[in-house]
Amino acid sequence: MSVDADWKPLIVGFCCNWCSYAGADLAGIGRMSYPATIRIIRVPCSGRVNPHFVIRAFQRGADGVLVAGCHPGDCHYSTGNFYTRRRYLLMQRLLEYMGIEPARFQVRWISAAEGAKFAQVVTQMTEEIQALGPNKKLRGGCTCKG
Amino acid sequence: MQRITDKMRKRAEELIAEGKAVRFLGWEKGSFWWQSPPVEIKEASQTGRLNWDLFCTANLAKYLQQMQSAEGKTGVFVKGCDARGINRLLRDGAIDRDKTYLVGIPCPGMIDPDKVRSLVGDGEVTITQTEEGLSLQGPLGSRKVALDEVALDKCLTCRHPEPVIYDELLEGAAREAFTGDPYEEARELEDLGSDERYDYWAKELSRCIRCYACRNVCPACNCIQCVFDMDRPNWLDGATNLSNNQVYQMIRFMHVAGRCIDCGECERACPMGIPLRKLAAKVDKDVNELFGPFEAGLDPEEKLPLGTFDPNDPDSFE
Repeated sequence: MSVDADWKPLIVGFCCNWCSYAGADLAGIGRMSYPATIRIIRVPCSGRVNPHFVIRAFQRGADGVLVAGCHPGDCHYSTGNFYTRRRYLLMQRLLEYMGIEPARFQVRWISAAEGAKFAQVVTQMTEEIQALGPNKKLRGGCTCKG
Repeated sequence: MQRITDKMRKRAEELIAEGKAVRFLGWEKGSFWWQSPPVEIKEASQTGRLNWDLFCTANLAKYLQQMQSAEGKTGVFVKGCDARGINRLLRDGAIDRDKTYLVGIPCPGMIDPDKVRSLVGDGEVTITQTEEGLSLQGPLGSRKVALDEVALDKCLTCRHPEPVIYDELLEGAAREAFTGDPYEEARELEDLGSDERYDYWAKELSRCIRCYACRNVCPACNCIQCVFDMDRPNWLDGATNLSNNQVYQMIRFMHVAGRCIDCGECERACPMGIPLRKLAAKVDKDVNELFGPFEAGLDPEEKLPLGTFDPNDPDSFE
């Protein structure tokens, strides 16, 4: 597939307030550079991320979706991300089964101290999606703002 | 069949007379040879309508949910899959065990009318049971077949033809429980490439008319208010297009993940013939592979795979 050289992917990142969002913040404070492809949505916990959010993001034009939370065992609410892990292990396989490339949906554990990891995850994900090109699958649905 | 029908009628009549049930849910003979739709018997004199044959496919468990507000006990006839549906609803707190009286029927497996039509043609078909199997007579002639040749796909892979929960069990012979690999079809699809799989599902799901029959008939879809009926927030608008259909089916199967009992009702109710059991099988297969062996609907107290966790769950997320 030929991809426009100027095209940059659009990634929606759901980051948990306590670890990954702080990790992203640390990446900024540490002046680490990473592609400006990610739009971060701060959620109280990665367990807050409903599978519907992920699919909805794809439907409304995301080329990739990242769900980032605390490392398992480190959840601010003790167990939230254990549920997230089960839910998205399943969801990842279902998306794959429906024909969505696995690189487009990723889950990563990023702690508040891992600014460098956040930058690296975004860089890597951007490269992978750049190679795949714009996401055309699942796109569409209602165009109204609702 | 006739013997079991007689027994059903007799037991329903007795139970209503004894006051153990105010009404009974069962099946009656429909207008066509391939129909045995559900029926609600409200008094002992109506029990003659009850019928048991190889078309009693409909899962009666879901109807109990509507009976919850009615007074008195509801009697229900349950096959293997209905019984697992009952467990499903009990586990979700959707029905009250004290308001139900369950009469189990060992299930021989049900017939897929399309398979019969492909053998003897569409039109007036007569099916008689013989000792060896079935004798079919239709516009294209007559055939002798074994039940398994025309049984529903879900019955061929049924692991619990005997009811797993009941108050009393009618005598009868159940089919042999399936012990092979129930996920064969899902595996075949998995072996394709991403784009091929996408095209496959795009072709199937573009036919979906979002009539929600699959949801309405599903014993795992028992929410009082479904996300797809909400307009604030508007999780998914009503337009029927491929994207919305894909979202609908994916989310529905995420919602019933680890709770689906594979009764195959979604696929049977689908007016567009979408192979929904292939989605159900995939999710069920992953639940089993990732979180350990699990079969939904066997125990009304079961721990649900997505409602619990294990700190040592597999982790491919780094």
